[in-house]
Amino acid sequence: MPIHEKSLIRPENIIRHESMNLQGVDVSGDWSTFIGSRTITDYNEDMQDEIAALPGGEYIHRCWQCGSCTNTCTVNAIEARFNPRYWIYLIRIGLEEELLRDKDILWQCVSCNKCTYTCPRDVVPEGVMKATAHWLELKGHTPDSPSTIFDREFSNQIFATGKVEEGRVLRRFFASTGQALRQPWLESMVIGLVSRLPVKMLLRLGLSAVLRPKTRKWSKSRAAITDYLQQQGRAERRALHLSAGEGTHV
Amino acid sequence: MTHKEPTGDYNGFGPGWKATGLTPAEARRATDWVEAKIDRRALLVNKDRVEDIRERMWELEKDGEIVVHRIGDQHEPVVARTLYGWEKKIPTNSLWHHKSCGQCGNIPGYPSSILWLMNKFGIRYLDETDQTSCTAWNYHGSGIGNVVSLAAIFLRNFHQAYVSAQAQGLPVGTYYPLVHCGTSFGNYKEMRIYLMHSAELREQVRKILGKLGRLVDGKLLIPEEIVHYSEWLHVMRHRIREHQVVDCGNLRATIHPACHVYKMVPEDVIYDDTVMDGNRVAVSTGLMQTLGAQVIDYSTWYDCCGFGFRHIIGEREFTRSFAIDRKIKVAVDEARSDVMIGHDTGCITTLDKNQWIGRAVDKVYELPVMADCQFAALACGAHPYKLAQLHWHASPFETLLEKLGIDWQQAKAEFESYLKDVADGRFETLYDPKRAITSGPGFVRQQGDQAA
Amino acid sequence: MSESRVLVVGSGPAGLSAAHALAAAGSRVTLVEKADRLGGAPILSGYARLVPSHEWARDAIGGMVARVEGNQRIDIHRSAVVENFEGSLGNFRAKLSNGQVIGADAAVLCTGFTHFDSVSKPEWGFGIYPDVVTTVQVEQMFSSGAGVRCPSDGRVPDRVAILLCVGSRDRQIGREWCSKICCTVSANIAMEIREALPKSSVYIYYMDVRTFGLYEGPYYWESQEEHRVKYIKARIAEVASDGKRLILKGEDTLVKRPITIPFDMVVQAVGMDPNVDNVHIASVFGIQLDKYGYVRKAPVYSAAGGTSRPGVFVAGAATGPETIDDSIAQGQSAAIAVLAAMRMPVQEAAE
Repeated sequence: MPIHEKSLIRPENIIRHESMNLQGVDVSGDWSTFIGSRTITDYNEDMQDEIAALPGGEYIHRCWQCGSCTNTCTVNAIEARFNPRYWIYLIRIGLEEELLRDKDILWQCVSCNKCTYTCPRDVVPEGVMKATAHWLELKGHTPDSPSTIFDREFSNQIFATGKVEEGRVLRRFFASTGQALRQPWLESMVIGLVSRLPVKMLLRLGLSAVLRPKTRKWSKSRAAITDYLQQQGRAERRALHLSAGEGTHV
Repeated sequence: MTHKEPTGDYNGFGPGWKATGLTPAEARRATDWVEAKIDRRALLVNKDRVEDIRERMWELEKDGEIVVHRIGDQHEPVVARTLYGWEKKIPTNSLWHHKSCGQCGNIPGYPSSILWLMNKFGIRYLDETDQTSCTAWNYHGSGIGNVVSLAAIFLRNFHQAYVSAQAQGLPVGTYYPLVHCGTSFGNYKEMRIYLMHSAELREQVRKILGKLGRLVDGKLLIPEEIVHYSEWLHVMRHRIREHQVVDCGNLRATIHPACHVYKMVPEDVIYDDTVMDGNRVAVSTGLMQTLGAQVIDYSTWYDCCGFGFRHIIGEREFTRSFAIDRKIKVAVDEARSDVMIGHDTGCITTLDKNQWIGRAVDKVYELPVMADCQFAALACGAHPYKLAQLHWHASPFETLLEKLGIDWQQAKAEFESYLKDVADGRFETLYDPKRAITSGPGFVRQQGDQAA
Repeated sequence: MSESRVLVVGSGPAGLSAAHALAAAGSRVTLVEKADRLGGAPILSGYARLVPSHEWARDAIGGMVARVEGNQRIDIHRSAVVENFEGSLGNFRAKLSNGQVIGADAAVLCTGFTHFDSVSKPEWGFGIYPDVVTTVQVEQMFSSGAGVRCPSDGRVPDRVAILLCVGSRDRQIGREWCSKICCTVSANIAMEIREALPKSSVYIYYMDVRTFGLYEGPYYWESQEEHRVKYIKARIAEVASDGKRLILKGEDTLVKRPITIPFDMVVQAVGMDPNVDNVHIASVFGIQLDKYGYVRKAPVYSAAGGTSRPGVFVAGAATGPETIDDSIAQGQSAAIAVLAAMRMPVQEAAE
């Protein structure tokens, strides 16, 4: 007995056993298939406040669901599921499960800010998209994306030394994303650099790679930046009700 | 125009009633006052959108278009009140059993309980074979309805009920049809509305019934009321109580009101201020309360069972999921129900027979499900196996019987020995089976009937 | 010309306003009130703080009552109704239920409305579950000082749902009008609950929100921005109970998914019905009702506050759902219409 309207049922709601025997009766497949309910049974009452606590989400409570953000949206024009208006509703009402269904699409925002320009309630939907992506990461709903890892390596280096050494960023980025250091495009770029750059500059590049130069008197700035980041991190984790070890680190 | 002084409160029609001599305007005022104050649903009365189809029926009869099969004194009617406070006559005697396909096929204890209760009250009835399926299962299941055929079948069956008594030498109209099945009940009420509204449909049906010889004086025969057996049980509940031998006081019952009994054509459904303040359909609930059981409300009371007509055949995944998640689980978890009582074929089947497969997803509830008439028969001492035939039910019922103080092991042993008798050709019947045949080659006119 | 005599029926905001205005303009007023005290719905039903002033009803409307009760030119009949009314503009004669006969040049009907009786919608659980209450009951919880508590066991509700359009915009029960004030009143109540019970969550289930005019800011938005009241686009189908809490069932129309959400308390924003006595009132005063059962207004361009009978005027919620402020304005407007009619009985605006 097939489910005729299977396309209308969310795949995760179909509970099926390809092989099952109950009390001596073969009930494999359709004979024991169940359809889970799609009823919403509760709200996450903290969700709006959590998003609002993250940078960009401050004005989410102003939204009245006019749809101006979605109808001007660059991404919505090609991806129907990218719908800021809808996500803002889900967040405001606390329909977390429904939002999580779109966690892999949400980061597609191109930050064109057409929505920011058009929103009659000054919600700043682009900011809400950022805050929501941030929220998903903090809560551990999305694994770190390559760009997040790159960003972290880049930032950590600056925090540590006040300077960026591209070679080191690349090496660490490849290491933490499990990529080989020897990549054809990289090799050809290095060969190009070696053959074209003046010797003096090459020497300085080599020295920087070995010695890790720092900005002068950086330690004071580093302490201030680290302090600020930790403070902000703690505040965000507190706002999201995360205990130590829960969710992901930033 | 002389103005009459108001004489204080409107006193109604008590024993000291005398004509008030109100002017028409005052009478209107008094009526408005009564409707506003007394009947809280009165606001619906006189609204264009709510029509009492019976009024159209009387008009058509007056115009000579149809004949109405009336509920007469021999049917000993009891008057019940429906959703808007209208009256509905429920016949209690001289009944013609309009059987249910699914009951006879799936839940044989269902019709046998009805007949057994009628025997107990000495009610005159006819359970004859000359009737057909209403075919409404196909209508709802396929979504392809042929209204002409459905309406013709409706009137064909009810015509047979009307003339059936002639086989016993009794006048036409002696037996009044009592519909066992909720699907038929809803369908017949729907078809009656179409028939009353469409002259074209009446004409087409008249042609068909003419060929079958099933017109009365060349006219369509329409029943005064379309009556479901659960309505009969409801108005009989106090008499059933007099025959009760099993104490139901510590029983927590949940009710499943059938969609096609009380949601379809809602204006024809019985509500009773003494049954849950009139906030729930009265049938089944009123009976269970009268028998002393505790009827427990639960959050999915209004919900469908999941039968769905097409779904029970072609999409059981939907049916079983809905039945367990929305009804059985809730009745057990919320209401801690000992038994769920229904009043329609499809619902009992769905709610009962879909429970077993729940163990595929670790949803094992084992809630006994049965019809109100089966429960009433048990309460009056009917045999749980021979008569109520609970062994056909898929959900276990032994704990329930223990709670009712019925020794099911002894009953089972009796039944097993009775089965040997059946195998030897010795079986009991609820009535002389020859009476089921009222025409054709096997028909034998009964002596007693001729005298009646 | 001797001083004019005007009969005012009903002493809610409109009636108090009309009586005061007429007396101030030199008329003698007979004020007839069915109840045993003046003030109409805000007083009799125990409203708390009024929209938009946030003043307590007992102070605001109480002040209007005191002003009328202290006026020598106003003759007050409490616990009385008009039983018979005959004559024409400038020469009416009214017989009251207390036996008195009053002469009047004109009459102003300020007979108000009746709160919708929620038992007419059994699927929403009023009268079945004690924790399903109406906006009027919540007003009384505030005005009595008892605070918002679940009637079943006196507990403080964690989660409150307010259902809009109960007894409004509903063909099923023959009420096809918008009751106009319930959205704003509900937003007001929601804010009051959040103020009184900061740990509670308040949800408003709506089809549309009609906090019209300037109420948009201080009610619709303030309730969301300052008080974190949630608005959910869903008309609730059913209120049930799981034996512990109330269960709201409906469709979240923006998510297109069914909801069955638990709540401690459900508040029904009941609409405004025509006064339950309107059929009687219409036959006594010889005026027409509109198709909804409210008092039919004469075309507003010729005389504001007119009815179908010359000399009989109307103000406030007798003609349809109305706010307190507008009822007061209409009371004064009807007073002017009465004075004008007695000087220039027949003059059409269109001429």
